[in-house]
Amino acid sequence: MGEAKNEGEVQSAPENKSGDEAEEFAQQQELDPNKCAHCGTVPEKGHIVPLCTQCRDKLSRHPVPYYIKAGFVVLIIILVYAFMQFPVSLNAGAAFERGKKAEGLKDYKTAAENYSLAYKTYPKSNLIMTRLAVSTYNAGDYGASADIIDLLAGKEMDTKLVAELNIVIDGLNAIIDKIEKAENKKSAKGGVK
Amino acid sequence: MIPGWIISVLTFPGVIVHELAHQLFCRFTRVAVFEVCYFRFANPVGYVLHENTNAPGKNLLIGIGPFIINSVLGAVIAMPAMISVIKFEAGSYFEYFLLWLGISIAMHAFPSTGDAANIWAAITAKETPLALKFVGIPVVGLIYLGAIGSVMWLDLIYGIAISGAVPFFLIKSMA
Repeated sequence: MGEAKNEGEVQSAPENKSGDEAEEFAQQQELDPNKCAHCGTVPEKGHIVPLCTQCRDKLSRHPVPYYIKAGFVVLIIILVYAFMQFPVSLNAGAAFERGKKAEGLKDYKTAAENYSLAYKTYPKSNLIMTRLAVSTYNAGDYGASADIIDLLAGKEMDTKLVAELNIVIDGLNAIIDKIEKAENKKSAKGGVK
Repeated sequence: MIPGWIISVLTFPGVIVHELAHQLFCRFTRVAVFEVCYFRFANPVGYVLHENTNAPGKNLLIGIGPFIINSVLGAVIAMPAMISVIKFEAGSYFEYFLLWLGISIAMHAFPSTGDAANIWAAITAKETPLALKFVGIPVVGLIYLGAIGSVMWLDLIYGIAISGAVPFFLIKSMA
């Protein structure tokens, strides 16, 4: 828990005042309500602080220091970058969600296609890579699944994702064993001939 | 307990944008500004010293200016980074920077309790038109609540929520 913060304070005269109260306030501040507090000419009517039109205009346009302006320009550049980057991130996020939906419906081919789209934008995301590896495996694209798993090798990952990947790895190993056994059988038969 | 000034130092861009927003709204409403401090290592960390005005609309706009500017700027800057860092845990250093910058700005959207009291006084003043009160009181009440709630990290929660709510809602609706 943090303490109440104190930034961003706008300091102004104590309360809203109008009419006679305004004159009273000006007198309290030793300001002549009939003279502009800044230049001494005739002030605008209906304001608490007696200022002429020119002085109020000038003071309301209080100069912004150059370093704040420079910082603001940098901020605008960052803002434009973020604004341009947002649709790309958004499309990747939506593709990932579509992939999850399809995976839930056991439509693994569609899931893999959508995860691939998200992967193109975020190739370093362990989450996307895991989902892509699992869905390509379930879609029967074992080669693609093995390639993704190779990329994930040695990475520190969430235990849930690791557990899912281990199931896929076991499945792939079983397939490789089957293929090897079948090839051995074939070559053994060939040897008898 | 983390002292408020440490939070303000860590999120200083938000303080500067907050003060700049007050200043800009003074300019828009033609209210004389006498002094502006964008950031300092003292209490308060930033302030805008301007003339008092008897127009409740102007007081209201100057008070809620930072709420509008900080919320929009912070959210837009943090949105793409929110997806890569939070959703996919695949953020680059620059995206972490964007996230810090955006949340820092957005979390300073809430006024200080002093500002909030000024805004509340403006909206509930006798001279304030009824229509403005009708629209303004719920909004100002919420802002006031946020200002008080900064003790319970409500400002940080708001910063994260506003940066995350839009992209995650859009992602869900696009999927």
